[in-house]
Amino acid sequence: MGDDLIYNILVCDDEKDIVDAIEIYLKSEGYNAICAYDGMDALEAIENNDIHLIIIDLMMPKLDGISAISKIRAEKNIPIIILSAKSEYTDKVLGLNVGADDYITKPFNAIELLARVKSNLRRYTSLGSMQKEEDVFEVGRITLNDRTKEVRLDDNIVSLTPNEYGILKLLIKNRDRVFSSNEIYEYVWDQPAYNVKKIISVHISNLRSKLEINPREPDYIKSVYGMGYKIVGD
Amino acid sequence: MNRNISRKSKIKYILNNMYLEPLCLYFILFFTVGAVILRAVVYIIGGIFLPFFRILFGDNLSKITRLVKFFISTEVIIIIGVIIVFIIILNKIIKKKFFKSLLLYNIFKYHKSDFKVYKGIILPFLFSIILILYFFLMFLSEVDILYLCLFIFTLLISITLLNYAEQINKIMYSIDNIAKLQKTDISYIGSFGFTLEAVNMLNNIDQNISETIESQLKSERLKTELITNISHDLKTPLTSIINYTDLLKNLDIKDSTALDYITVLDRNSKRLKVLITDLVDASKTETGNVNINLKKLELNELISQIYGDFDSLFNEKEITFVFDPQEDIYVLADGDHLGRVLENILGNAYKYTQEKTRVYGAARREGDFVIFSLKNVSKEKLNIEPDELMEQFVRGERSRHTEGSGLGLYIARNLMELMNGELLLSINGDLFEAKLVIPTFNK
Repeated sequence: MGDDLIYNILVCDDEKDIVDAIEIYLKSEGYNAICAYDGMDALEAIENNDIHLIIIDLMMPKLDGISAISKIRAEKNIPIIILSAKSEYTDKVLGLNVGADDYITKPFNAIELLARVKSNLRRYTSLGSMQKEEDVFEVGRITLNDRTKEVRLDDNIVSLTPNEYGILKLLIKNRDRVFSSNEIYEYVWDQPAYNVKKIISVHISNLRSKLEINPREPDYIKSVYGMGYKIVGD
Repeated sequence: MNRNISRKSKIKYILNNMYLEPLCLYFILFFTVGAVILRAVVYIIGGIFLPFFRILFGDNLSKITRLVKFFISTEVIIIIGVIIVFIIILNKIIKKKFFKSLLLYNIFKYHKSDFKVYKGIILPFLFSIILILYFFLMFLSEVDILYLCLFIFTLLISITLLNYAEQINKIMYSIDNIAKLQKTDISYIGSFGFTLEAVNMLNNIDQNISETIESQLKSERLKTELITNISHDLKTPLTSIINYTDLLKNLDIKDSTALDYITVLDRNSKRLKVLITDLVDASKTETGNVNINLKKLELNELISQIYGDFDSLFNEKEITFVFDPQEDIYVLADGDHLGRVLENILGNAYKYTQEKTRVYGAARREGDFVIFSLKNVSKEKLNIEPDELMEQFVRGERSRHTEGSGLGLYIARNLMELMNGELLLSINGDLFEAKLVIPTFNK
């Protein structure tokens, strides 16, 4: 990441107070915020500025968020984060299908917002620059290097216990595959599993609090309720 | 040989499975027709072979003739028939199948309601039958046009009576259907006179009821929509409140009173956030406005998965969660919703359990259901009925200063009911128990 470059982030919401608050947060992290208050404003701002990331509301006057996103997507590849009061599953799916990269519901947590901004910027700027190594596995912000036994989160080293590392390695190597608690125990501990469901769930919970932006709503280490766990992501 | 056996078993089958009344009718038919044929055959044989018999029996012929005549006489055949029927009945009684093999009994047992209606016309009906028979016999003996007219007249009366009863029966059936909210097609009743009016009225009632139900559903849906929309509108100012409170927290404020106020603002804005989300969920689960996706799930895995996030919270309060599943238990439920229910009751246990005690969780099969029970010792006295706890906005201590919306158990109960299960609560002194009744997974 080029540290000398100041990222321009477009914040678009019809509620001025919210835009102002986000602007304060972004400035405190060293980003440059450009404000817009409706969809047309946003399109105009994108024309006139070199924008690196967009935070956009869905319900706005003049041009709503969904239409604005599809218009932006027709031309540009910049990361788009939806910030909406609509928390329905269908709303999220619709937003992501139109071309948004992430979805945050209102009322949002500032730490979460900033983490998602950072993660999306990193993915956008470092895309394609990473060369694939043999023992390196990557999911979203998480990188696991099995040669050096290192786990990095957005380039920062995370310290994991050996068991947590084992679980993460198993899941990340077999992305999208669901492992039950018993299977995880048998692979990682290398012992027959007996009454281990609680232990595994606690380990998973710890892993999430170390790796996820919001451990309660994980992006990567997902629970498949009543079946097991899996890692998803790109 | 084989054919013999199969014929025997066929007869046995008929004897065992036929209703008694038709069986007796068959016997009567068999013996009356049989007796006539038998007598005819015997007389023919006797006539043809008379000289031969005379040589064979000599003087005894008259005795034998009398004996044969005795055996083929109507009385004897009737007695034999009655004895056989009696044996069959006795056999059924011994096997305790007498009532079951009676056609009348079966009709009354399974079609009782159909016959209730006919009870009302029994007397006039019987009376008209007797009149019909009387006029018919009179007509046969005297061939008088008057008797023919009377006969036809009474016949018409009894048919009308039956028709009335039949129509009332159908009307009752339709009322029953309407009461059960089943779609009824009443127009099929061929009707006239007062029944036509009754049918029209029934049609109106049916229409009114379905309209009421429809409008009720519509208003429920509108209510949910309204709450969802309001919650969207509430979330926008709330977002500002939460974020500016957060910004205030980050300022370098020295005044301790101001810091206290900020803490209060922070806590309450977060509470408001929970309330708004739960309000939408409560309204949606109440009206059944949620997608339910039932799947085969392993319950112990699910419970452990939910508990994982509570582990550190429980440790803080030194609460131990005793849960040692021995085997896999499969249930048919929606993973996300059952997860939410478990989250709510575990969260409840976390909030209200006496510190440094144990919370017991156990799942067991019971018939077609799996029961998961969660027991904990309440830290405060519970002066409340268990069912009241599941109402909206009710909390154990009847006050509103603690976290949470007071909707958790209400949402949990609604979700369990939507998944064909149940949430049961019981209070025994300080011991609080929540029970989830979940349908098992059957292939």
